[in-house]
Amino acid sequence: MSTSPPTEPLNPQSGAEATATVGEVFVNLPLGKPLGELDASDVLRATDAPVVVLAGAPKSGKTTLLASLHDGFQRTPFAGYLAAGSRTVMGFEERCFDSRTASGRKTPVTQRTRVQEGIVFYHMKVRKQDLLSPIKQLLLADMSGEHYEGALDSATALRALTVIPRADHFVHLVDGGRLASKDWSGHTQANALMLMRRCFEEKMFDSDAKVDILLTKWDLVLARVGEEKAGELLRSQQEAFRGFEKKLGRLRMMPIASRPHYKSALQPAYGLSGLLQSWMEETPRKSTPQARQLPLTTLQIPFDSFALREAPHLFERNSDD
Amino acid sequence: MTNVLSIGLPGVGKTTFLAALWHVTESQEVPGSLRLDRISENAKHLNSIRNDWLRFEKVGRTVPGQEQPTTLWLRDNHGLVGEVLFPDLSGESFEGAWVERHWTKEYDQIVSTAGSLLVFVHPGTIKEPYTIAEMQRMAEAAFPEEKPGDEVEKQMEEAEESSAEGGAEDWSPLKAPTQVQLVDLLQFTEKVQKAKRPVRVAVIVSAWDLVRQDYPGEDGARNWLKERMSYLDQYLRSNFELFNVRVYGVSAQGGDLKKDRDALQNHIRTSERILIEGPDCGAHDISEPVRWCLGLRGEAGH
Repeated sequence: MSTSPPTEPLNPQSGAEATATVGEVFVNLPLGKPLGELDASDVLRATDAPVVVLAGAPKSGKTTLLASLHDGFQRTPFAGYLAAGSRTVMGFEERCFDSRTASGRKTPVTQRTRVQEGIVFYHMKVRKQDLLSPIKQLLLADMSGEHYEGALDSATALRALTVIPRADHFVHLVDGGRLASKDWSGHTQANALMLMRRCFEEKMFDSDAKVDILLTKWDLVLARVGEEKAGELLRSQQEAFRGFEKKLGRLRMMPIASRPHYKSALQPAYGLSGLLQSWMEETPRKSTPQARQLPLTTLQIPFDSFALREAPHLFERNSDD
Repeated sequence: MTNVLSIGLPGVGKTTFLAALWHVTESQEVPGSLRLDRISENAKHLNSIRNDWLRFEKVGRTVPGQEQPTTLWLRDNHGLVGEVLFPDLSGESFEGAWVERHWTKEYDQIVSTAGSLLVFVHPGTIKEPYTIAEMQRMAEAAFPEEKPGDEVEKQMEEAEESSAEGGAEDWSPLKAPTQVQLVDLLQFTEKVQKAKRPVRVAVIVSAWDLVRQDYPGEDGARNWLKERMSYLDQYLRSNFELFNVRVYGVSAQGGDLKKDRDALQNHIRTSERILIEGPDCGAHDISEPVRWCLGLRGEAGH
């Protein structure tokens, strides 16, 4: 038995779930990488996994949040849950690597999500520690900061982010460190508010939408302005976003520090435990499943023609058809 | 024929376990152990690894491409158990499956027909999921560094901005923590294995002599797994519909072959050097995890 690499490329599939047999000798296994939209749809069709969309400016801490959720389970159960597996283990590990000692770094960093990657989904399975309830699944949508900036500049770009109306939880990460910086505060708050306004103008949120505004890097906020002023900053942000509250199912704001600096008194994954619990426990919003359309292949049997005539919406059609 | 599949990354003691198991079942030196009913048609590989083990030598590791099926005809006190297949697959093949995301069709066939699993971990070779922040916190707790607040703030800002750093290594799947690799390998088997669920799993914490002092008692190995490989432990516990798990601490060699050689050689029966701790384990009975896998023990797992 040999597992030496074959000459032809293996795993040519784009999705993490591809398991097709290649050639005569090898059997492909799931790639374990972040899921594309099609694979994420498959998860949604098979389960009632809530979709959590993470949005924020470049370096606002989206990927660090993702990595910290995965890291949270490495030493002990996290937030009252046991890890029960993931279809995107390799993706999580790649995101965690630069904050691990194995990277040889002295300072933890997180590789940013590149715009070319589009919107990708990370998958988690967890089960309550008492083992009395079934395993639950979660999809975390990670989009690059460039998508966020694009949405600020262009309504068309925002409308293209169709995952936002589908989200069970829209998580808007606002860089707390910048909010606490004299140079960046105004810019950061204005952009965060503008994204919310754009989302309403473009009807990206339904009346039952749940939005979490996370003020990230709270350890840096505390180091910059101290506890008292940090409290004031939180209250001022709550006030600034209050106007949106009535139009939504729920609006929450909370400070987090996914990976606090070692000098900080905050615990690792500060604030994430409660978030994970609410994402897992709240009933996912009702959404209409988007059926994948069937390819319009050559019609071979009478039933094909019948199906096309009676249910044309099931088939892919070119715009000029 | 029942197929008990051993899963583990390189150097975790799968072959050494098999060598000691072969000796115990064949020699019948351990009261109450599973016994060999008859010698299999082809016993060359088993004899070869047993000879290494009996001579207090490091048992030759299985290398990819030289893996061979190994069968044992076993019986217990109640009669014939049957022919049990122990595919002795190399750790490199499992590691290759994690990295390359494919395995051979032959391998796929072995996994799909496996009735139970022996999952091997070695306390001395695990890759830990240590984070830099965790290390920094530990260092800070041991040697507190007094710094004025603005300096801490500056340090945090620098940490925020840092991305390129000399000496930093590139990501490779091989650098992922052992427990994560094993969970994904088990997820692969989950998709392929056709056996009735839950599948019996015996987790073997090998080289148990290295850590047993810190984890005493029948639950010692289970506690070790919970503490040192929590992600794997959580995965196995949370998927109880898929896996029925028991955890054993096993030292097939009994100790360090250099340091403890004299003591190991002083046993009257060679099997007496074997250490095993876990549920229902008799002294030196390395066949107990196999007994669990074959369903010869009650239902209660983890």
